[in-house]
Amino acid sequence: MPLPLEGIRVCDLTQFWAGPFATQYLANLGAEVIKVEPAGRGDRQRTSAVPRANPGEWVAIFNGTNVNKHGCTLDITTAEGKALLRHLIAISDVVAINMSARAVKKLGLEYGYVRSVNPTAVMLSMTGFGATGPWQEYVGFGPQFEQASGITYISGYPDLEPMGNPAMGDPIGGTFGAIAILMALDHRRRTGQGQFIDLATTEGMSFINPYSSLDYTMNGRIKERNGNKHAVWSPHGAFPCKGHDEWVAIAVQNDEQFAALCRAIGKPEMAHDMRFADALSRWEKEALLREPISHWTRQRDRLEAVRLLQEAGVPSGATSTHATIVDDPQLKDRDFLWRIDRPINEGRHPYYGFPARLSKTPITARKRPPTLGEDNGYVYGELLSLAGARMAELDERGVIAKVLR
Amino acid sequence: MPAARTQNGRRSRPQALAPYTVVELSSRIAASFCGKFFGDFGAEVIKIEPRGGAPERRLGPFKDDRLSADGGMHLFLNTNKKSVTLEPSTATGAAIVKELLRQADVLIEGLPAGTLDAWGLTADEMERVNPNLVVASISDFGQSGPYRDYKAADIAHWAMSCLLVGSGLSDREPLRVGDDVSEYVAGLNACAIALGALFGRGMSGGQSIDLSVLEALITVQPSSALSYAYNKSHMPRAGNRFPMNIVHCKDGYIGFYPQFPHQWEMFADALGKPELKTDPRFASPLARMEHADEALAIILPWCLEHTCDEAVRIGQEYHVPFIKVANAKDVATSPQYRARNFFADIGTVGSGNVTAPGRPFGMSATPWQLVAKAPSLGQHNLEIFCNRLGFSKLEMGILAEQGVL
Repeated sequence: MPLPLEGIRVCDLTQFWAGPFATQYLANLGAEVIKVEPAGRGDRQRTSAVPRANPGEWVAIFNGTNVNKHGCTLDITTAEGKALLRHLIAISDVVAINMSARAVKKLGLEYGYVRSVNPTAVMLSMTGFGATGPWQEYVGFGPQFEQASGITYISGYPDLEPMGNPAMGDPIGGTFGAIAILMALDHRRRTGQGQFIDLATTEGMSFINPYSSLDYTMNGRIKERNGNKHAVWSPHGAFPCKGHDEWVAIAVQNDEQFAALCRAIGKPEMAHDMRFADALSRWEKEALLREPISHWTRQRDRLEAVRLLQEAGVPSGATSTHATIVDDPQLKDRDFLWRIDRPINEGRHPYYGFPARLSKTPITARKRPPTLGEDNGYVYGELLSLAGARMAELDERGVIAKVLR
Repeated sequence: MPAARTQNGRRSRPQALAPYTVVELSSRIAASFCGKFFGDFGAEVIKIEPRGGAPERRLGPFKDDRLSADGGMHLFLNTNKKSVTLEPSTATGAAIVKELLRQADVLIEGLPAGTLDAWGLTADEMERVNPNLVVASISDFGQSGPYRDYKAADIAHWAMSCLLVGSGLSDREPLRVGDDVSEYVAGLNACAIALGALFGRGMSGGQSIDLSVLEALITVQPSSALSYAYNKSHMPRAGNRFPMNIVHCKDGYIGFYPQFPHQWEMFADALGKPELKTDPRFASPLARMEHADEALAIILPWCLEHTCDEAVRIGQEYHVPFIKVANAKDVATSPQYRARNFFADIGTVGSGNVTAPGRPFGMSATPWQLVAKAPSLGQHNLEIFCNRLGFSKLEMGILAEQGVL
């Protein structure tokens, strides 16, 4: 069965994480994604780790975000390079870009240009703050977009500075990007009309953090950070288990679950303690609940603790680490991890796969992440019909050079 | 091209998803968030709620903390939707759901795994009723596997995804970030995949999507299992790791991140501290990490002498990632958001003005439109059950009496 996006071609000029995440979504769903990397340098993400043999090929975040794509190298700052790019845009359905507004202008890659080359193209522009407005030229990385969105401020220990997760903004922004492109493709199929998508990662992160915005507009309250304490549920947090840095997360949402928790930890009488009689009193006296729960969890292996809590009906989960997650029985049972053999990395390694099982068009790893310029032959030879000698000459002069310099 | 009408009756721009009808079985934030994108871009979304209302109606925030029919999360999650009340757990209720599915393109549901089967709405039965239906199921761990029936919550997903042990400080309880991030991430993924499946429906017909909240959350971190496989080590959690810091200014917090060598030099210039460029302790990224405390001793006093706005203005003039860590008020009053019309009034007659994130991204041809505010419970019962399905008012009365609607 053909994959949903079979026949859709994406000219992917994105780098780092957010943009490549958006285009990997399309690649996973079956689109032909042509990842265009700067000649002689590659996606900057390739060189973000400590160098070793085959530099540029050992960055997990790069490899993990470029599965199922074709990769080519191109110097779009040269006239010849720009001409090749023009050709590629002309035969693509989607153009994706996540450069800063300044770089877009410098390279002349605004939507007006793309539209003049391909009037029905769908163009995704992904920036931190958007393609318009007073902050359009502000620079930042994922952490800054999260910090400006409001989500970082509400995260962290109450006695210290805010502490966000320095990574989520990029992939979450990328998912918004995939959604917008898919909507635009649907519209284009019916009307023949292309369009420009102006996606700001900061706005995406504010969009998934509505509660504090709502509470501010409705009640004038500014939400402060408060560790793992939940707005209403209690007890709620991470409790230490046997072993180094092993934890079980517990989230009690109602009286019934509280009684179940008390039974599970061998303190059924606590469920009848008037101090913890309802959600509000538990919430107010949560500190008193931490010790009896921790006393029980500390004596147990984290998976054993969760097994007992789940048997009792308490929402809970044990911490995984990057080392243990590959052995998670649930993920194994659902074949969530893709084991991809990439010769340059000397063997099969675990990649995070696709988060859903599709009944008719299973999403799989069809193509390993490209080494730098791996698909130049396909892109320039087959798609753009350049002769071999011409390609060799362009490579020689650096226009499509694939060697890291 | 079907054109929507806005609330004041003006004819407006085309909408990307106008031809589609979506049935949403309300159950959790993820499902409602997924449905929101369909409604917000023009699909008809029929939200089926239990007679007591969808759970988000009880989530607040409520104006002046007084329980009402206009909780903020309901207003936000259910823009541009129609609400009907129906109990699919009854045989008649399930039969009515099937009638709605016969005329629908997408079903979004976030009920505990196995619930639809128990109601007789099996995959086979739905395919028989409508072979073109795309069914997006969102559940904590997926519809299969040993943890299928485990009880989870956002923080449990944080634990199991590896994200929890990566956030916070190594000598303290690990932290989740934001509010219910896993729900929004799952909703975004379900939306992207459902749009993909819709796009490919001509080739494959309808199909079912079995999305796991845990798997979706796992994908928003760098490819950490792969990184571990390459390097056999991972960084302990260390809060805001230099040079990615959050620090005090005169009137709040700012975040900075001079990641690349040229940014470090600009950073030194912006602060007027050229010694940061020449001091051998700060000569390379690695050296800077090793001497973070010494570098901060030079940087922090400068920050304390400036307001957040001054620091960001100076930093951005030098093209260094610098941004204010925004609280709810800063977000609500952001000049960037105002210039880009990010916020919209999603309030109803009952709630009054509620300014909340409006459009998730800009689309030039099919922009986001607020055609209808969030519906009251069962607001569209007559329209859907009488006009659409052909029930008489008498029949509706009987069904209501029987507890079906």
